[in-house]
Amino acid sequence: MAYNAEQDLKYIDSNLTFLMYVVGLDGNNLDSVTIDDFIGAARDMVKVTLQTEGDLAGVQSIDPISSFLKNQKHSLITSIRRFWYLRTLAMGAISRG
Amino acid sequence: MVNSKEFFSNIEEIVKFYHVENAQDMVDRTGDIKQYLDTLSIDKRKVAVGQFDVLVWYFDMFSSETTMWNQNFSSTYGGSQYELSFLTKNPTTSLMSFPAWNTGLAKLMDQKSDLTLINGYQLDLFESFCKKESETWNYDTVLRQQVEAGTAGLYDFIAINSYDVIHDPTLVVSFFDMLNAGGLLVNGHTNNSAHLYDDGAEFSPYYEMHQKLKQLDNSLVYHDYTVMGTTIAIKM
Repeated sequence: MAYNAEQDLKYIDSNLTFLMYVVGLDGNNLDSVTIDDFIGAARDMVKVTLQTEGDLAGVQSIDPISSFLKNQKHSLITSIRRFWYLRTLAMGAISRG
Repeated sequence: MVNSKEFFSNIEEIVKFYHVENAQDMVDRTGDIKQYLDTLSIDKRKVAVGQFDVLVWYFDMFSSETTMWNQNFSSTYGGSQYELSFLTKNPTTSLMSFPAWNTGLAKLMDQKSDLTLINGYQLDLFESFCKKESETWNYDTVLRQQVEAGTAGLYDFIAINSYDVIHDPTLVVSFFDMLNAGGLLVNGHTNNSAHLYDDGAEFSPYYEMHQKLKQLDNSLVYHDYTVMGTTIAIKM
């Protein structure tokens, strides 16, 4: 069996739909949501500021509760971005035929 | 380490290996993939991809001979733990998730075991850009949904990256559960660019991923902290 783009996209979409509900968006709107709105909703969930969202440097210098929240927020945003990226690749494979 | 290029050149002088790729192999293969990816109009604004994520930027990193990533031996030799573990285990059956990142390892696993590849973008890029027409491959494939449902079979050797599980660290147990007794799960890129060793990292999914493996009664867990970090779990 070779690469199955439809099944790959199905897997990615199920994860993105789940993440949309996690951040308070309607998972039925995956085809219309923008990455800006998606990430914005994730950022609004927890009002802690990441020093840098691509890097956890500095997290260790804060209290455990804030450190936990920042780690969770960082993980959530990273997961959204990765699945968003992978969705573009799967859709590209489908359009390639 | 004042001069990392010289440092790793000296390491290259003292090792002998089977299929670890050289920098030119990486440049050729990843260059073709990058050319394709550039046609997809991938949104690479900071809001869409963050600052630096290897999963997103991998093919940009390795597709140019002049990047720092291709200037020393460490980039490709970082995957040597997979080869060492595979050859030591000498498995009958194996599972792998990243044939586009390490086609040399995939080839070794295909030649010396019954290889299964996981459905995903890596399989697509591997089949479209890495497999050569002159080569014979005999692998099977499974869906990622089957892997997570525990219906993808049993293996003696499993090679994955943290990117396969880090969005839900409990998934590492799904992979471990697919091992036969005595089997090895080799998981790369597990130290979050060395932040796993920082104070406060106990709240990170990378730490949780290791704890999930440690909590199993029938596991042994080892960690190589060099380069991007490699974690090896043995099923007793």
